[in-house]
Amino acid sequence: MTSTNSESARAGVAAAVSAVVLGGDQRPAGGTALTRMAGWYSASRTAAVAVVTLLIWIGFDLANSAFLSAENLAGLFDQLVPIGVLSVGMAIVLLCGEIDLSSAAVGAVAATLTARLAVGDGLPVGVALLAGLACACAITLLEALVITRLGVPSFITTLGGMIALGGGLLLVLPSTFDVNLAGTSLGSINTTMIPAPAGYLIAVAGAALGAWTILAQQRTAGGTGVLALALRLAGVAVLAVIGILASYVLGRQGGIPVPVLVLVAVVVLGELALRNTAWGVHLLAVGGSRASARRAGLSTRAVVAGAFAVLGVMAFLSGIFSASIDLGVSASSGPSSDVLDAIASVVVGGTSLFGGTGSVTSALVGVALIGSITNGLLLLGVSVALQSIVTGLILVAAVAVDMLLARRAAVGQAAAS
Amino acid sequence: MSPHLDVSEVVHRFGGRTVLENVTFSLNPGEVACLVGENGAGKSTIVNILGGVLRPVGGVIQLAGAPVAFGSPADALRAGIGIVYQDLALCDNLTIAENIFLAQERTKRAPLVRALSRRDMEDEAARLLTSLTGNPWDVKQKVSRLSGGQRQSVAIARAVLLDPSIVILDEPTAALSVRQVDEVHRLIRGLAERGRCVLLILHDLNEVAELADKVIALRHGRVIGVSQRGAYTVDQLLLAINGVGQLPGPRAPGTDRASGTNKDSTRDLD
Repeated sequence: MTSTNSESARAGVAAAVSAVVLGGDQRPAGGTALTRMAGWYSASRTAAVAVVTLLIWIGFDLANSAFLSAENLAGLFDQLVPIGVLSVGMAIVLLCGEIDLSSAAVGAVAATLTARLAVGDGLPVGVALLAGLACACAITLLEALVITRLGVPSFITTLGGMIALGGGLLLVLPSTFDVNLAGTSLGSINTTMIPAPAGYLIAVAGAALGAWTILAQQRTAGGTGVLALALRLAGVAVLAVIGILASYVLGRQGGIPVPVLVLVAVVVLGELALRNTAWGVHLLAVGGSRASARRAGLSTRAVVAGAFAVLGVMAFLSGIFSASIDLGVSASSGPSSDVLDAIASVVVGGTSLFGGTGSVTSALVGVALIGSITNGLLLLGVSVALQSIVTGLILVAAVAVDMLLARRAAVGQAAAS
Repeated sequence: MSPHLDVSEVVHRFGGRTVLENVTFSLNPGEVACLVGENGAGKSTIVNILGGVLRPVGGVIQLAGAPVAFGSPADALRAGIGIVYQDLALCDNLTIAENIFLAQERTKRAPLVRALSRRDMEDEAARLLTSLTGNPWDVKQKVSRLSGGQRQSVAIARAVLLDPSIVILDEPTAALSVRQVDEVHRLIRGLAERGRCVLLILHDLNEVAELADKVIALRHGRVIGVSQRGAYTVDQLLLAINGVGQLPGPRAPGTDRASGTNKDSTRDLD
């Protein structure tokens, strides 16, 4: 009896709150601030993380003015970009309900193949890059084939792939176990700069595009409430401010490295494709309910294979950028920690580990948040041990908060319908 | 009038267990047929075979006189079979319009790619749902926000989107209120009046007697009787599907072929 009463009381509260959040009617707002917040947050998780990231930047800069210096930001981006590009691929694979543990190793093998062909065998760089790209996509498509045809879970398939590719990397490497890229065109990718004003332009154009997408989505998703909309638009504005700030600071250091622009480009293109093409809807459908998607007439195998192909491209780019930043490839390229960082970033950024909900932008904001915290703690002289502990706790805390708020929002939704 | 759908001696097994044995029945245009039987009688297996989810291990399915073999649900959709599954097969994380148009998206030419034409899909989905239910719909909502009856309507809208010649509904009224049940009944009769074959799976035998022009009774994966409206009583139907007594004919000559009951039921059709 007691539990029934408290259930119905909670449902009543949630109904009143969601009515206010949804702007549905004029019933009095009876909910707690937390329940109300849950509604806005679950509709705008990625934006919330973007705002938190900006606050962290400001906080670290107040604590140590070196944080927003050109040197530190350049170092931060070197650290962020390879994981960021990998995270974009990871986000797409997670959205369709799969996971890939081997992608950093795929990137390392593909980048090593490219480096050997270009530097060791003297092939034209373009040809070597195409060979590396084909190698990466072939590996991820083979994994997709094992997952979809043989029914081996992606966790196991790609865990095996990761272990096998560790050996594969040693086979592809020359007998010295490294390829030096200093002074080569592959090595200079990360030092190829474009001037800062191009960065301003891209940040503003990206923000306009983002705002347009959100407004269009608001029209389609319907009823997420004015405050949630405001938070999401604020998230876009924050990303634009971060972009302009970063462009300005990097401009004083010589310009914006090409890999940073590639990261921004793949995030924007990925997000647009996710929201505005049938491919995007199919990806979310397969991630949301594979059995339903199949009975609706989708080839779920093709959708999963497509996601892994995109991951192959991203793993390749990530491997090449890593090689360019490190000025070489070696037996320690593509460590498994990179893959775990990528998964953590995407999840912290707001993409479900179980598929069907999230965004491509989650990869960017998650990487920025985790990378900024690691970098900031380093600047403050916090030990490496503590940095890892903090990063791990952030991952668990972000998902715990997400679960808690999603449950509250779900109660509100159920009561409202 | 020749049958539009002809299911002949269909056999299916899960592992070594035979779940359908020489199942034979037919559907005529404009006819509402009902599959009845206890849980495990094979009703949903038949739906899954007609929907391309399962491939039968034996037998022949003919559509408008031509044999068909569905390799996937997409094949069945293309052949003109629309299905409302018992679990509705909706994606909760997508909007109503996205669910209705899943795998049938409307697109428009955009630079480099074919972009979704959301407005077209939303307008058409809203029109379709309004025509089915008589109420206005906000099709931009996520399906996770809908009530049981609303979800049922969305699943039905998706099944009839491509104007299929055969509509199959697996337990379409199980989760609905009385008013919503009436709506679904009206919809089913409307489909039949427009010349569609309607195949229902129902548990409520009074509902069967009310709706079905033809009833196909299954027991342990075999068709144990086919009867026409008015030729049987609900009690007789109940006894028949429980293995006590027979379902009375008469069978309309030329339209129904007898089930596998009087045939050598152990014959392997592999």
